[in-house]
Amino acid sequence: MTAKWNPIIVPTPREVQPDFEFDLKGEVCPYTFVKSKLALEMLEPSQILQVVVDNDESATNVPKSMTNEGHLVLGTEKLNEKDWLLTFKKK
Amino acid sequence: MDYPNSNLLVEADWLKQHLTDVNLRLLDVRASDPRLPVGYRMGHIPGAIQLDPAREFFVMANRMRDLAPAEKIAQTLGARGIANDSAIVIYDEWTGTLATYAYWLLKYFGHRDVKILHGGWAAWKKAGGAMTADAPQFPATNYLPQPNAAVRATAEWIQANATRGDLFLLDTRSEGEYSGGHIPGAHNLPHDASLDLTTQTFKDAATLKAQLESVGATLDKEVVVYCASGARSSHMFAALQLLGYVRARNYDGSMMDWAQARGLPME
Repeated sequence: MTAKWNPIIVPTPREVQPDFEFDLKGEVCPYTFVKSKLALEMLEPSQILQVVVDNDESATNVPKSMTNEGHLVLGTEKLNEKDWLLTFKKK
Repeated sequence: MDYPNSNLLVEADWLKQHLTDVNLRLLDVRASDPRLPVGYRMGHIPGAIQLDPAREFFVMANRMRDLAPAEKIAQTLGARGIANDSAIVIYDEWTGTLATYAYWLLKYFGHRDVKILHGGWAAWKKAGGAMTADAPQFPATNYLPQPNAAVRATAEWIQANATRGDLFLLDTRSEGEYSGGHIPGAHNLPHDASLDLTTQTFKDAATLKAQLESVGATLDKEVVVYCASGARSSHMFAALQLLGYVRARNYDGSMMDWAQARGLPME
């Protein structure tokens, strides 16, 4: 078995307008999740947060953790070889 | 607190009474970011020093993290006025993984007196504790790290000890991550099982003990905890120490090291 991190790819809906964009490149676990969560706390319910991370681990685990917290994962999209765009809707 | 090793934690009321202790060094490890109105710069416990464990205790090489050399730890702690005999109290937003991460790192680098503020910043505010925007200045020290290999597991160590009957591998990731591939022989108990999500404090001793024993992690075992990159597992490491597990190790490299960097077998 060689599975590692398998982000669940969800194309970002075209009509999405983020209320807050957060570049977290260079950040690793647990900061990618903790900072995403703190950013979401600033927003109102139903507002949109977009985060860019540069590792598969975060692209896998941050959406899972957000789902666990009750938020909606609108997108998990690979931007290039390293970077991922994650889109969340606050519950 | 009824934990066998309850001196690992302090409560907010205790801290209020000891805030001016000369030997106390408070470490604020909450996430801080200039783009967010949160963290240290927005207000902290008087006397607290800011520290980012993921940046200060690690070095990056080939996009992988490894523990920083002792010289860097000496510089990091010494410049902040932390001495080998300082009484350190760490706090996070709550009893979170940043606090336990810093706790494990300091224990690994040989610091004797390290405690965690139970419930963190949230508990401090709830207790009506003071806050300030001022950063303290402490005289620099000559800190001497003394790494303690007994609280750390590496891939080589796990492989060398894998057949021991008293070794217990505990995967602290979510069930989904665990079922997607884990170190052969590992059992699963997600790290947040140790938290009371209402109060964001550790669950009581009896509940914690029952949870660990239900997966087979009994007191007689040497328990190695891991997750994706060693932070969530540090939370279970602290819970184990709280319960008196005297042989507990954190595999700080975790799956990033085991699977991604080394391509070692999984099941």
